[in-house]
Amino acid sequence: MSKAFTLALSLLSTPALADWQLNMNKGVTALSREIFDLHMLIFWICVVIGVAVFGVMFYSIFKFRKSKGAVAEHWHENTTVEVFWTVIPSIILIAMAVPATATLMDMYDTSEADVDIQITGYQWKWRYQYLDEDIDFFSNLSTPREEIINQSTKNSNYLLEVDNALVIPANKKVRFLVTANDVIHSWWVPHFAVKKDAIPGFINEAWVKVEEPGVYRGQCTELCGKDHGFMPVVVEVKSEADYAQWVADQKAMKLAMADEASKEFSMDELIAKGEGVYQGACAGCHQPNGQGIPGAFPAITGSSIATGAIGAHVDIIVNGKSGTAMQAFKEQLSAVDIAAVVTYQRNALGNTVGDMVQPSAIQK
Amino acid sequence: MRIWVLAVWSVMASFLGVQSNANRERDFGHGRFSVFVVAGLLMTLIFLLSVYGLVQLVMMYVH
Ligand code: HEC
Ligand SMILES: [Cu+2]
Repeated sequence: MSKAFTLALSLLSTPALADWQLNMNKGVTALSREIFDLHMLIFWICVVIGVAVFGVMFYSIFKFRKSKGAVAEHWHENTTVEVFWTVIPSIILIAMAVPATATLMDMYDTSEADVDIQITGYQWKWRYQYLDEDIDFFSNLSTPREEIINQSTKNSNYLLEVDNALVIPANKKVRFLVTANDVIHSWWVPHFAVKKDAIPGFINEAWVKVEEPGVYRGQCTELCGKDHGFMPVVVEVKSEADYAQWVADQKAMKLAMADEASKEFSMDELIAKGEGVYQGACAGCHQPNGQGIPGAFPAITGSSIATGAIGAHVDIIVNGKSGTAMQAFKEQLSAVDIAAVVTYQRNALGNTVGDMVQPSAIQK
Repeated sequence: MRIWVLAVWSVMASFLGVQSNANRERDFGHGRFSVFVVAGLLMTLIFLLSVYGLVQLVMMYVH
């Protein structure tokens, strides 16, 4: 076999082809396939029109070129031809609107959902609230920092992995109510053919009914600030039985967490736990070393709040500071996490205040 | 009456975006401005209502 042939063959093998995929996905739902088919139909209509129009054009340019003695015809108007080339495209457009309308109606038909989930975009994470269950959690990027700053090799889900994935049941109609807390985000999972703007003060609806259990990944797709590229979407589709188990586990975990909050922690325990919380939830703005970014995010090292009265320190984390990027963390972090991160900030990152706060003292 | 019919035809031609030079000269030569304004507004209203009606029809048909 010649080298070129081997190369061509390897380029045609699936993984190589996947890298070169230009077309949109067929997706994994009946609706996504319908959207894909609509897209292909419109695409081929455009191809036929393009070939016809450019064919006639290039043929005319070539056939009637000046070097063959062609002379331009001078005439002003031909109403018949003009009406013809206006009416025909209009008819084509109206014909294309028929299947497009049918698909759009399907996309917007969010009625009779089995599961309702509110999706809220935050700078820079997603919050998932299951409206029929008492489940509510945040989904943060989990790609290690070392990979982001090129200190270790990037894994195959680089920037497309989270700590808590959205979990939904297979073969059930799941309705998403999409909104945002701060700026406009957009929730996008290509395999679901769902891309919905998340706008503060508005609720946009979308729905999926996924047939096959699996993990599907997407991203925020509305430029939303510094870490816009660092708030991926991961959806885990589970079989009905697995989903029921997951719901039960979530509820048990919630009880366990409430239990933990009443425990007494040592300072070392809080600092160790707080470092993880800080690197996960705070370092994006205040930086891993606590130096902040001058003009945008204050330093924690030497901060008058982080080295001042502990009550004010707890307060700015629990309630945030309105009108600034410092958001309220009371919904996002458990009492244990907040106590831990406060204790960490006061006794690390160059600060040496020497005091701590117990989870039981955090008033949310 | 004829002046109105011609105005409506010219408004329809403008919706399509195609008009012959002969009609244009006739409109600008003998036409009355107010007739075109009224005919234009009327046709716009009819167009809007028919789009609205069409959408209602489609929604009814689907549900
Ligand atoms: C999205 C960016 C962002 C994130 C994430 C963030 N902060 Fe902040 N933080 C700010 C900004 C901006 C301020 C300054 C607010 C102001 O104008 O007073 C601030 C102020 C503070 C202050 C007061 C500092 C001072 O001296 O004024 C503390 C303490 C603090 N943040 C703790 C935290 C903790 C703990 C976390 C993680 C749980 C966190 N922040 C996450 C943006 C952020
Ligand atoms: Cu975003």
